[in-house]
Amino acid sequence: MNHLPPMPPEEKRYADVLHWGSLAGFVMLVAAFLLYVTGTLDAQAPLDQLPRLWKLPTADYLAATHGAGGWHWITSLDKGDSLSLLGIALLSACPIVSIAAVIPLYLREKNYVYAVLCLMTAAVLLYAASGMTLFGHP
Amino acid sequence: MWSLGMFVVCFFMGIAAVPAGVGGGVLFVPIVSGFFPFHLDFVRGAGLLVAMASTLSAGPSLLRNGMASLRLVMPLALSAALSSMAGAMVGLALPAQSVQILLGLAILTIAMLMMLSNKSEFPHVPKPDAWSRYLGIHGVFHDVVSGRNIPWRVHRTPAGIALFLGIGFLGGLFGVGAGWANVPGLNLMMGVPLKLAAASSSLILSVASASATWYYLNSGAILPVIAVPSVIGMMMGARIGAHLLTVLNPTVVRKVVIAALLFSGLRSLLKGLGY
Repeated sequence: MNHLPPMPPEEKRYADVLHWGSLAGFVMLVAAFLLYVTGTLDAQAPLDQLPRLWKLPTADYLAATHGAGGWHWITSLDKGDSLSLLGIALLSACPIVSIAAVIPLYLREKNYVYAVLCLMTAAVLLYAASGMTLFGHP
Repeated sequence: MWSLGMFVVCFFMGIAAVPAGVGGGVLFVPIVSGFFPFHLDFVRGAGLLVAMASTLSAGPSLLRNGMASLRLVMPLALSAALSSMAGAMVGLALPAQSVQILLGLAILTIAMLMMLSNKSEFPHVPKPDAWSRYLGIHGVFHDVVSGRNIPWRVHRTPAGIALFLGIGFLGGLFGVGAGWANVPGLNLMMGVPLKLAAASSSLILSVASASATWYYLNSGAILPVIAVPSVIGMMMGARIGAHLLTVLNPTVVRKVVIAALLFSGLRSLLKGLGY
């Protein structure tokens, strides 16, 4: 029986950030969803209208609910469905934060190749998150 | 009511997915798009979230147990994240009917590949390639079952990076996780030991799925009433599935999952063709 090999510091930091970030995201997601489905908070798209709306393509759905693409949902966090999207956004941000957190460690080790790889991956995810990929649609 | 239905269905998918060795997304998208009344855009958005959430929760313990390697993950995750975003853009731009047909064909192909694919616990890597030597993709992973530390290295790194470009694209296009392709790609093509491949695949998937999930989220293609109960059901089911690993016969479960994929793939294809 061998002992567990020592964990590289960047893997420890990545694991720690991912653990706490995803935990916060899940708690937020479940709490917001409960507020939404129990009717404690109003909704952008009322629950009783959803069976008609969820058959529509996204562009038609947004038009029917007076929604918009990108980060528009963040302006209506008093609505249960928008607050639930905040939980989803937190979860989706976890890989970005975890990758960004290990860049200083790679730089300290003078491992510039991995520092650049992490920087590029974080940049791709930030670009996807920014909404600039929509090119004006939907 | 539909949320409860999604929770129950995803709970059972989660139980079956772990012993069958597939992620939840590959079961979720064809089954839900084939048998539930939701538009395919919302099903794919929820499928990506399901795939991402499962891998996010597993990632930290896989790293802490020495089962996954960040050095192996990063170059492939960059490749998959780029193409996954492109796949999401193409997927939401194409007519839903075309995507439904392509999805049916893809799922039927995946089921065939699962039937035919081999695995190698510890593949032989005679000589690491120049890229993997430059990137330092090697290490020692701890096999919890045997208690042994197993040295590993990889070959065919450029081909692996190219493969992950393709896998990421399909994942973003169809909203499915890509564990079914990641693990054979890492194991059979690059020579990564099977357990390290499965665990590292999970971390790659979390990054690739996040990139496509952001695109779906920004496009308004994620409906919490579909996505959230699916995520919770799948994660609870997966926990039970992991415990049942010692009780259930993985070969039997794998056959059931392949049958479910064949059935739902055929259903997707027929639905796309208007039947």
